[in-house]
Amino acid sequence: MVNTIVQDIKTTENYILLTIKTEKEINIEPGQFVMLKLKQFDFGKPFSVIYQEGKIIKFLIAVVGKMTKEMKNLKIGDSLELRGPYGIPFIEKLHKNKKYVLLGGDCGSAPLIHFSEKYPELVREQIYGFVIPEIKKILNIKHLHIDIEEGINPLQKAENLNISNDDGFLVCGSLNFIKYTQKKFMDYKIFASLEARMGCGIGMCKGCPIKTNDGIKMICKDGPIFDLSEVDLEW
Amino acid sequence: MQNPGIEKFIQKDLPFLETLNTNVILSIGGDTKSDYLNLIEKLNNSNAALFELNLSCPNVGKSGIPLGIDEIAIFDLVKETKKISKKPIFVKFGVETFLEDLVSAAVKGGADGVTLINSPKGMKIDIEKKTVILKRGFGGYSGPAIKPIALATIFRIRRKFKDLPIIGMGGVFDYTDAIEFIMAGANLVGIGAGVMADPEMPIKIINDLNKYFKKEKYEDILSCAVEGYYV
Ligand code: FES
Repeated sequence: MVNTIVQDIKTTENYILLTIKTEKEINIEPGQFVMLKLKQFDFGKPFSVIYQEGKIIKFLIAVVGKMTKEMKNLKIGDSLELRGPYGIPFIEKLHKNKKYVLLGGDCGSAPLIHFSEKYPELVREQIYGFVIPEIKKILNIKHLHIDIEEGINPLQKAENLNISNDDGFLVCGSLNFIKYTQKKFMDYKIFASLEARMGCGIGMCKGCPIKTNDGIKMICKDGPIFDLSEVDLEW
Repeated sequence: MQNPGIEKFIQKDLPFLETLNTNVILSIGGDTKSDYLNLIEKLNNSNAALFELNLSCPNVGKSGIPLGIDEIAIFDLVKETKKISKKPIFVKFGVETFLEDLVSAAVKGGADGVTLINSPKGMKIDIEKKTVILKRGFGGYSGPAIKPIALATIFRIRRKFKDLPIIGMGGVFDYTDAIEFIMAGANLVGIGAGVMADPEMPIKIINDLNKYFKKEKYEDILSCAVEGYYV
């Protein structure tokens, strides 16, 4: 468990961009996640990272549950407990001889943005899709796609990209977003970062199972990055 | 709990556990009596301190009653495992209505102690998605929410079995919880969900307990519990 201090926090109704500073330096590879815990909660929750350098880590968080609602009230100087990083990063699963289209759905964009900064040579194209423009108030990056502004969704946009048959996809977002990607780009290699409700984050509680060609695996420990041809998303 | 099975455990995890300078408890579970006997045979020569028989398996035996609540089956299982085991045998129970009778059956079969409590079943339903959260619908419910239930269960059993060694667990998250478990009648205190919330939690609890026992005498919190048995 590492203690961290809030350095900066920007919020909108549904999103938080949180910057924290860890007590000691940790290295988080894109695709890995950490467990963050507020003092008043017994269990932490998993968050993937949008940016990390030395002791500074940034998270892009969708306000969806009790803990993220509480996180909205964090102030600069507040402390948060962190443990991790956990999970197997993109770079250990993907094929390094390919280039990838990064497809993010909502806050699922975070680990992909992290990836694009660390491994630009592996990136073919990037689309970070959000439904409404609210996100722009706190996130100012290239390749943002806002559905209601463009009139199409990120996957429709991806269809028109100039990609070669050899390219692959890295995708992260809701389960439906991932399933839809899989359907649309069947002929490509797709690696997805899967989400799950997690209790422990380290393979102990058996709370995040996924069916794979090699039996039941835990998303926290054996993932969260999976080759989509190896998992059964309908299970 | 689901795991890769005994062969992989012996190959991968046991060698590591055997390097640790502490008492290792091997908790085993199976569908049938022969599963348990088989596991004990395979693990008998490890340097573990004791075996714990986890009876939480919902599978139904010959009698038509799940093993964990079948007095005769428990007696028989403990007796048979005791015959071949080179180590003491503890039996882990959940929260059952006639738990005293079940523990009695285990003790008559030769159990050296009991572990209390196995996590009760719980579930969560997402009313927006209109679906259950867990793949199997329900799962083990653990953590601080079950602490009062664990304490009451340990207290209940301690009242009836004055000298029976009890490993108490269920929602221990800090040293004050551990003290409550000792006061309720536990001889050893276990941590389950706490380790999942924070793998370093046991170290913190041990340090805090050491500080606590600089001021307080262990005998004092025991006698407080003993008095409590007979109120
Ligand atoms: S979160 Fe506990 S096993 Fe994955």
